[in-house]
Amino acid sequence: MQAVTEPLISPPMAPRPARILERWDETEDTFTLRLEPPEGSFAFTPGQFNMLYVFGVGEVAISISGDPDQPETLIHTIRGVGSVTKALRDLTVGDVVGVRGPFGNSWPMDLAEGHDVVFVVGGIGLAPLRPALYHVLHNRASFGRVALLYGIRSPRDLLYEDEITEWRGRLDMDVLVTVDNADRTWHGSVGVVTKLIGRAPFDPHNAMAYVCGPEIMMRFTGRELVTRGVAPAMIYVSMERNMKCAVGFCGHCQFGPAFVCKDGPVFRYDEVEELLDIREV
Amino acid sequence: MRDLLAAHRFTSGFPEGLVDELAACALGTVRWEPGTVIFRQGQQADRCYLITHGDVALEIHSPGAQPRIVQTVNGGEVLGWSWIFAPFRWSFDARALTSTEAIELDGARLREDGACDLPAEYRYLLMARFARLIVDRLHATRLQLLDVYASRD
Repeated sequence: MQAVTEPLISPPMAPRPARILERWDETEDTFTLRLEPPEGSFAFTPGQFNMLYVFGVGEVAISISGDPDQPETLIHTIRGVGSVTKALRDLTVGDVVGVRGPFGNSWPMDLAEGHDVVFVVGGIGLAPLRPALYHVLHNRASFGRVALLYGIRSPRDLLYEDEITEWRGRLDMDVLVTVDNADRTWHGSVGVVTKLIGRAPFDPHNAMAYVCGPEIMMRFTGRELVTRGVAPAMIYVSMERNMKCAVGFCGHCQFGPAFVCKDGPVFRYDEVEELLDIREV
Repeated sequence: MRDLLAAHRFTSGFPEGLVDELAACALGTVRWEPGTVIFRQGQQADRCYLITHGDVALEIHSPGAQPRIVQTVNGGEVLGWSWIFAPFRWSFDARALTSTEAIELDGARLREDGACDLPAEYRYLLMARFARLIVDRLHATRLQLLDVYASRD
């Protein structure tokens, strides 16, 4: 009988099983899964994503939102809006999902060293940016001023509330949060996230900006950052498209001349600025 | 007062003569404690406030419902332009969220007497600056109406 040998490296299309170790709700429709890394450790860089497979349902691209310095912990924050993400929401501790990844490029953290760093985030966009934020905070002395500008729909949509509270208390970073609408129980800012850019204490001529959120939010944020003096080549955005294969085979995530899964999801703003204005890309 | 006005973002780039004219329309500085209602919807609007420090909530009321905050105005921004256009009534309630300070301009004088005496160039600059603020606010409101953070299948 011929012996079956395991391949040393999993092929990119083969999901590896990962058990759910912990699960908790972040907001009404958003939850976080802590997975057991398939090989005990899961190295990734900030900005990368995984394909999560719910057996019998389907697969979906989800950003990795944990700490890259803790590869023994694999964290995904997910909004339950489609068939696969809703199936993920219904899983419980002990269930197993398939994982392919990590895929995609990264936020260019090295290019930000020595500069002020501004994170402009909308909604669930905080999840893909959180690993970059962890990296900056772990290497705080390598960066100038750090600001997190976070826009959400309403106060109850705030992600990572405990961490936001902790970061707001730090003396070495500024955290500004704004909501689209609120009642009187909210004592913070109300308005669009672009409005926070003018209030954040950073030097636009010496700043790197990382932007993640709905595409229309990133379009207006990019414009506002440039208006304030940030060089377009110092702005990076994370694009979202319908990713299927995650390795540039299928073309579902084509974005102009690029594939978001392979060439992205992180793009330099001046390289995609015109594409952001095209209705169908 | 003139120095305070000249340091405010609203007057950035204004010629000195225009800042002088605005200073002549200034009633002084005002300070509101958190929770203070600055003006109410429907009241006579004859003031313009250049916020120097603090945060103010613009609120809208509807019968049987809790007030909703539609926007906050912060240090460096302008509170109120209903004094520019007839019938000169505030459209929203304004309430201080934090300890807030502002330069108070006499809007009635600015629109009826002072502005009419201004050279045409100054009048244009002043109205262009307010128009910029209104357009920015309009763009922001449109983005809010898009509800870009809502869940979508």
